[in-house]
Amino acid sequence: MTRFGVFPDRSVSDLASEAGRSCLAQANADPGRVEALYLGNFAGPSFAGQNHLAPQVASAIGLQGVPATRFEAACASGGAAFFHAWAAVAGGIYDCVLVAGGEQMSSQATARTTEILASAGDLGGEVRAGATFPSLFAMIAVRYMYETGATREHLAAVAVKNHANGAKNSSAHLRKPITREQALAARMISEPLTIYDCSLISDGAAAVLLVAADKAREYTEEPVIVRGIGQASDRLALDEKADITTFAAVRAAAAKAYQGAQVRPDEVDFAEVHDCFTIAELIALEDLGFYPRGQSGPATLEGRTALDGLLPINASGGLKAKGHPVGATGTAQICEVVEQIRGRAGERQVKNANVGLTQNLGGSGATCVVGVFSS
Amino acid sequence: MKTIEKGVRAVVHTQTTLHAAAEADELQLPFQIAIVQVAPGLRRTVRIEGPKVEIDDEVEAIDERNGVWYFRRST
Repeated sequence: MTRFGVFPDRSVSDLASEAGRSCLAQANADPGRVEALYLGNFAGPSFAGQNHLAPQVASAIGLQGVPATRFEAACASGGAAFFHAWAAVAGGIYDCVLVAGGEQMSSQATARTTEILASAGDLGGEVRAGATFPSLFAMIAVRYMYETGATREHLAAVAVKNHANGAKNSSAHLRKPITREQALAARMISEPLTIYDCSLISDGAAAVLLVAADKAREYTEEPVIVRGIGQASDRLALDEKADITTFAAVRAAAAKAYQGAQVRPDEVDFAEVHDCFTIAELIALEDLGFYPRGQSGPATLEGRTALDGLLPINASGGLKAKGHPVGATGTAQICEVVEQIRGRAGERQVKNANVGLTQNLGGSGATCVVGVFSS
Repeated sequence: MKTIEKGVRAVVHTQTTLHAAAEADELQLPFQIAIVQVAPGLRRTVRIEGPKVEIDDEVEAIDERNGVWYFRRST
């Protein structure tokens, strides 16, 4: 993957092709062996006006004449590209597919970026009323806190943990530890979420090479296996969801992934979850079956999800600190899980990282992709 | 199904006050939005005018502008 950060002079195609070339080089794979490119990108046309991105990226990587298609599923674009690539490989259509994800967001002013991101919500309803994604997740947080007794200290604990992890990640957008006091006193974005409860507006890209299991050792001595994967969807508008304190798509995608992997939540060693907002991480930990309802906040506050905790969450720094170039996030989560399972995560290496999970969320829970990986 | 019209009463399911907004709404900051329960199975995202509201507050539809319903706390 590329470094995540603010690179206003680089295009999304430039970033995605850098990630793709780097991925192929690491796998010692000749571009001629790649049979298709699946590209996750949320809003390249809105951020930069450029449509038809996948063939442009394929050409820049040196892929000649292969199918090259862009996948859009809001913040789950990268995960969705990976899910559909996996389906094609598992179904025997391809043996070798490159999955890349990328976004270039910093070229627009923050208010315009907020508007582009909001287009992943229901334009005719909630967005017309003035809702943004920070405000949608703020409303989720308000209801969740009301029903479970969670506090702002629980939200702040997520931010503090993920910033501490991001400080150990050389690819992270923000490598800056923060204190609980800083998190609680930060500028309000949408009550009760402060700027430290919100993920970053980042540029960057990530890519992975997906190969049929019986061909994997032609590329690497350390293959990481997709043990199970699931994608699910739910209603687009938050106000149409029966319960806004849990995400049905996360539970459905996780059930498929766990079933495919024949793995239980208590057998997962670590996870990269979609902390677009701190409340999203707390709810994800419950929807994925790691903690009972209302217990993810206290668990985080007690350090149980820290790098040296019982179940490390977002060792990479998560979207909160590593950054959130929207279309890249799903593939970047998989890159992190691969590095951890191979034992190459350096300062942020999780102990006994044998089974890793990724959870990539789109919109206010309208799309979710969950994957379970092991060596 | 019940629809929203002026004077309709609803209950606040959740709410937030925005201090940052999309480009089109920036001049109105800060403002409050809420998801209100209009009837069983019918929730809508609306704007709140007047005093801030909290979960379980009863609110009343006062106006529709550009397809957005504005509510305020019931008196």
